Amino acid sequence: MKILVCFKVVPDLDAMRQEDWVAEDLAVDVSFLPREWNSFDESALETALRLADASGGHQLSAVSIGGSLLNPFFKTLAALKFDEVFRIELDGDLRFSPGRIAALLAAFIRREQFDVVLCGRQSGVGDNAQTPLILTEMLGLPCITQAAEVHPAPENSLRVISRVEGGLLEQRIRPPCILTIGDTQSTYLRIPTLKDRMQYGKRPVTVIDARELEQDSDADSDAGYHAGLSSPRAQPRLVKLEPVDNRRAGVVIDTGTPQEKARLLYERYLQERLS
Amino acid sequence: MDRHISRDKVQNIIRYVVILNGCTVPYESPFQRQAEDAYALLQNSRLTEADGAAVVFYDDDAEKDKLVALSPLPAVKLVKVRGYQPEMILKILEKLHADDPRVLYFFPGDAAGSELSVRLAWRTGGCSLTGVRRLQAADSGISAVRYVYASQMEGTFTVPYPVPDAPLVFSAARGEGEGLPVYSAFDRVLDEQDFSNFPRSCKNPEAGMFTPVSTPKTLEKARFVVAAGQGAGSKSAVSAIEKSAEIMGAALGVSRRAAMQAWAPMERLIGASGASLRADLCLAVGVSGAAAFLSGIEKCGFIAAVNTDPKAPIVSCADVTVIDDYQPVLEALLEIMMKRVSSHD
Repeated sequence: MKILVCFKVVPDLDAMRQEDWVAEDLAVDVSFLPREWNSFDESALETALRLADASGGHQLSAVSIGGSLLNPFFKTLAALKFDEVFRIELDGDLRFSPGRIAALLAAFIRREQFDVVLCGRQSGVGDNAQTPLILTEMLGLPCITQAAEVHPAPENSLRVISRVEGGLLEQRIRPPCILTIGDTQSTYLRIPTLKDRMQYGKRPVTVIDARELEQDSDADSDAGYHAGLSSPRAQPRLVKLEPVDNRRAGVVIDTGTPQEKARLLYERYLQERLS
Repeated sequence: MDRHISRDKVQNIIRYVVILNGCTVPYESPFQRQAEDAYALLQNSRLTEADGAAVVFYDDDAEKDKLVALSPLPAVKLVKVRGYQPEMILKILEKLHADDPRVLYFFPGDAAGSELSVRLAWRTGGCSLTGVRRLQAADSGISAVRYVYASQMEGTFTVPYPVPDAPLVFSAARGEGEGLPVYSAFDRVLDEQDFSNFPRSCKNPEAGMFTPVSTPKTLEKARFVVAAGQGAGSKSAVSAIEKSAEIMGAALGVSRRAAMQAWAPMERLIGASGASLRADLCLAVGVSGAAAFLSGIEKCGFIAAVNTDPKAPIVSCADVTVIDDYQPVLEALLEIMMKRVSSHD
């Protein structure tokens, strides 16, 4: 089975301080923040590795869109024995362009012919929660959303457990298909061994020019969506960006023993609210 | 306000449609929460109730009256299906749109609503936005406001409106709504359609076992929540916090990082993709205040925190913070509260 994971690297927004949330030219400066895997995509990458662990004979690939800053992340994936890693070369503001991202991925997936595509359900900054769903529509594939676990099943199919409102739903799906990964526990991406880093980490990244894919997409009359650039569809346009002010009184109790602090907290603030 | 409107009048003036999932198979959908979130979006957008209709998918006749009663608009259309299956619901929605096109569709903010809204927009040549908090009129169309940057920023997006053959499809923000209107009119069902024999798509995955998990309801309805974060440090520490919370009469919630480490079940997750609390009191221990977590506690009446770092984001977002290790403070709090209880006995 050819398995592809689409992933995104995002700024660690948890490292922002309250005063850093300032908008200028419809953007927030997050350039100084450390980069990390988008959490849902990290789960998707680990889920793909576990699927490969559970049944042999799979070919694992990963793809992301962006510039050379992504290369350290690709090295980690190569060291984790992803067979192929692809970077779609495109710099630019893609924060609120899920249609364009999906069109690029759709053109890439058509070209490489994968059986199973795993995507995180949404990613930080844009929080659009649309890319895997538009991709599903563009490719016309069956899809299971909110997947938490993926297991091999008989007859070349997959057993997928999704976390839906109210419980866990088990479904069986036959590739080709798309699975979007939602909240799932204990799926931090494993860390490659030093030996594997040395042996596999230098595997080259296959770089694809986004314009090539956009030409493919334009030429493909079935796509019905022309890479977002010449799209006939109306696209939402960001016109205003403002910080959400969730600050409160911010009273600090910092003197005394823990017992004294607890007493002050209880007597002055909690008692009346607990009665 | 006279909520009783004639059937003919409603048929002629419906400008928008709210789509809700009232199916009980494969799982019991939290219909009321869907309805509340959709209603909050309509209210925040100042959309006139009489201009819209709720389209409710359902699979069990015994549920019909309850679903109509909980629908967020006076006019309701019922569509019977064989359980919730996204591919089949989308095919039916495409057909309903082709037969009677509307320019504005709303979905609730749960995962199913978000999925259907994006996919329906694509299929009908329209455009969509998820997690929308309110709409407002704009020079060149409609503005939709939603949270971005892990709920730390509010983005306003404009979309042209109305565009023929290009509906706008919005899903509401999760956990925004609380309460529904009560309509006095008893004849609210405009139309009923039976699609229970609609052909199953070959794209449908084969559904198997469903295991219900019921904790989210208790967390979202709890009046007092103790929230544990990564600062707790271990699964056993979170279990100890849960025991203290139980004695205090509080429910346990956890941050995303704590849930991802499996220190507590995922159903205890607070924040952007988890529970949205409305507790009177939230006591956050070992929580630094990650952006996504803060959006889950912002509607609490009072937020108290215990954290070692006076510069942690939680400090400015809480009403009061004790700067210290959470363990001795929590132990002391528990002792004080138990003494109070025993002195009352």
